Amino acid sequence: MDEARKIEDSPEQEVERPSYCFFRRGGRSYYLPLDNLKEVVEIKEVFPLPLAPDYIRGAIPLRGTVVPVIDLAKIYNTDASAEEPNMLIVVEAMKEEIGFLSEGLPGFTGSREIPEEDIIDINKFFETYMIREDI
Amino acid sequence: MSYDTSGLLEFFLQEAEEHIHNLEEGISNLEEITDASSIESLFRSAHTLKGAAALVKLNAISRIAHKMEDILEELKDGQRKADNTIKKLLLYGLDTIKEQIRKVASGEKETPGADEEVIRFIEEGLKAQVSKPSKEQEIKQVDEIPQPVVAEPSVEEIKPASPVLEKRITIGRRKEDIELFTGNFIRINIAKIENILNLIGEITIKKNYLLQRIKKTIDIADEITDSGAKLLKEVSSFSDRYSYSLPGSVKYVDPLLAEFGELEFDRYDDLNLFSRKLQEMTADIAEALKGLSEFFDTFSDDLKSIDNLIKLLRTEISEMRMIEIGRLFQRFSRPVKEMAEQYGKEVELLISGGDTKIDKVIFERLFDPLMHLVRNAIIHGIERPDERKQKGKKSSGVIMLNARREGPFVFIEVHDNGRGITTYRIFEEAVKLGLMKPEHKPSKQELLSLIFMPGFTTSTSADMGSGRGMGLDAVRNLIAQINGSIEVDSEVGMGTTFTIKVPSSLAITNVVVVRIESAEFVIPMNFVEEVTEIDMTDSPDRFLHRGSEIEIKRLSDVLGYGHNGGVRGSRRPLIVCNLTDRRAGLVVDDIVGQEETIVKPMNKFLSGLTIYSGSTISGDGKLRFVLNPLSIFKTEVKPAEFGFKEEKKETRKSILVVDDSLSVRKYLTLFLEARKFRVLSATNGAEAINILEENPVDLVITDLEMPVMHGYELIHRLKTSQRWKDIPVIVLTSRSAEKHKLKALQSGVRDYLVKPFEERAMLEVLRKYLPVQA
Repeated sequence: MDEARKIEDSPEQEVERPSYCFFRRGGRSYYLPLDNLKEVVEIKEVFPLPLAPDYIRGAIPLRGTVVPVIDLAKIYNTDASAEEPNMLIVVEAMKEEIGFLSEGLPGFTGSREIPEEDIIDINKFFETYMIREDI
Repeated sequence: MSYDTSGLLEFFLQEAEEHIHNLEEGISNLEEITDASSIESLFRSAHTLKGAAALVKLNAISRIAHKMEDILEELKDGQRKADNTIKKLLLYGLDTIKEQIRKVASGEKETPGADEEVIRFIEEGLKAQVSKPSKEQEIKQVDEIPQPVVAEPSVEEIKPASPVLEKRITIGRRKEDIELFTGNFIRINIAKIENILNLIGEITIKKNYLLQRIKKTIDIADEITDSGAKLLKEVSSFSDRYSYSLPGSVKYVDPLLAEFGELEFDRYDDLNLFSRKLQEMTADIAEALKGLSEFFDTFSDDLKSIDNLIKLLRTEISEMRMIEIGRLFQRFSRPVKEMAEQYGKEVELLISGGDTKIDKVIFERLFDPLMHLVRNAIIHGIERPDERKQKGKKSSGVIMLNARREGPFVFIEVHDNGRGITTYRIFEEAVKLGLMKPEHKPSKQELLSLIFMPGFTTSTSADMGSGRGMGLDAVRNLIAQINGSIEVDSEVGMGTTFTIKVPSSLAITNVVVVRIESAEFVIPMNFVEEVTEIDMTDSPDRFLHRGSEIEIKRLSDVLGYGHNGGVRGSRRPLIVCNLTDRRAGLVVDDIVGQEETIVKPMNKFLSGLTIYSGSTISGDGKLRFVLNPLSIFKTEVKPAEFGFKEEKKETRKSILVVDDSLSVRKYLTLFLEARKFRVLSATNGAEAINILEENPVDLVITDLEMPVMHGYELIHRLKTSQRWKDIPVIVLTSRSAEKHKLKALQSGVRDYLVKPFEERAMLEVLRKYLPVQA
């Protein structure tokens, strides 16, 4: 009881509010602003999308919409074989949902001490990696 | 009333309410409206109202609407500025229209002369506005303008001063004026109907799944019945066996055994009892199973009737967002007039079947393709008056838009009685391109359908009149997007008819489900002409279909699954697809079935994969991508033959310059080409659209005032087009007024430059929107 009160009483005390979530894939961590995060789903079956680039493993249906399943290990050339990702981090970008493969549930952290290069700018990512019609 | 307009009147009231609502909303916010399309929509509402009222002989209403249309047109063309005065005059007109309509709706006649008074008043007001243009005086003027009697809070504080108006007020127009008609109509946002249709779609999918499950359950029930019967038989024979061993029928020789017999008799008795019980129970089970199967029989009947009800519900709700195609046809009357004038043709536009109803979504997306066809008919189809006279035709040509409904489809015909298409030229072209051999004897239909091939029209346009190709390929693709198809028929000297077939509703699509290895895909039914079989023993790449050879492709190859050994030397299902310009066959591993489903557009992240046009989710949650046969069988036009080689290798950014002044076009072209841009130019919006259809463009620089299609309309068309909305548009105009700039920027323009432009400013703008090269 006392213990509980103590915690309740001191929320302002140096507890940094998490503003980023991070997840692991292929031996590397990736950070996303918390606002981008839509949901985390457990991957059951990924439906293949023939002719898509290799960083798109396929897509899953999610409440009537279709979410592309993106493997960052293929984009950042890290060791993809280390562990089989079992979670999908679903984010919203350009009014569409896309999902990143993750090994395990994401964690949460404050904005301090995050390596700049590990933060994903979701709109820029979308622009860069969306499939374009080849002419 | 001496004439029977009762039937028409109801339609008029329904339509009028919509337009009045639109006008009311728009006029109330008139000063805030800056985009051309909104004014255009108000203008159209007044215009339609005028026409519709005249049709049911409500002449006063028609004349007032006409006056309002005039004012709105002046606003639209920038001849008049939207200010409070105009707003009030328009509202005053609208108010009178509403009062009159209310009278008519309750069975009375229009007040004779109601229009004259209003029109006189409006004209006086307009004069006053023109004579006092300065802002200060304008405000004063507003004070003088009496309150138009409308229950519109934003104008309530202005006091009525004019004696004319005061009289009107005392006549007794009250707040209730705003309550129109009999209350039989309500307005619903189309998005709501869309949501309901989506839900019905989900129900349909679930229902399909349930039907599947029921089938499985019935199979299980059958199996149980089967096993039950076997069990019964087994138990019967078991009982029979033991009934033979009943006491009395057994003789015991050994007295010792006879003693045992006592015990065994008990056991036999037990067994007997047990077997009898078993028999009874099995019979009970059999009875229950019979009941069960009867239940399933009625259950699937019930399910089928639910199925029918869902279908009915869907049709009813789809009907709700259906609108008459006549309203679309009406939009062509002005462009036809203008274009005919521009090209020195005399053209009469005839419309029939305007009351055919069509889904709002399809309605919206038919405008562009129809505009293409109409434009082609005027430019290439209809001859010049003198040429027509020489041929013994009436000097004015006719373009006819006709719609009719057949089952779930709507057919729209665009017919012109012009020169028609000469097929031998198409044949020559086809031979030249190696598409046909000289000794070929193709049918007329085969030849005509070639004009839908990408790039083909460019070369045949020469015999169809003058100017550039018309991008019928683009028309076909636009129509394919709404699951429609297009065909052409033409008689030399008699004219050409394009027939567009579209579903009347888009909510649910019929698809064929196919399988490649373990993955499932669907093909929309409108592409599927026939499902047949093919012998793949020798891996053929052609197939004889109804007398002509068609190209075939293996879906597993297309999708990169590669050949698997099992496919060789066996018969495979072949889906013959209708691609409008030809047929082609798709070989699949298996056909899973045919079903109704909701097709959702592709996630934007994946939209570059043009081989898919969308996705669907099956009842049991499987994701299936929708294949686009047009993309699978995309004709690879040999670049050299079409002169496209340059374009394909083009690395320069392309800029489209749209301006009616030759000197501006020339100057910009020189200026931009010197900076290594590829420059395309057009003299007006319509031409620009034509060019955009056929060329990749990275940026558009447009003037505002131009003939045929002005800049605002072009901008509107670009910004509302799925294909072009992301192309940055820059306005280059001599209009320096802030309001034009604001209007342009609000309509989605990225930047606004005023002529004569500074080179540095232009370069800076280009650098902003074409970062790589500028």
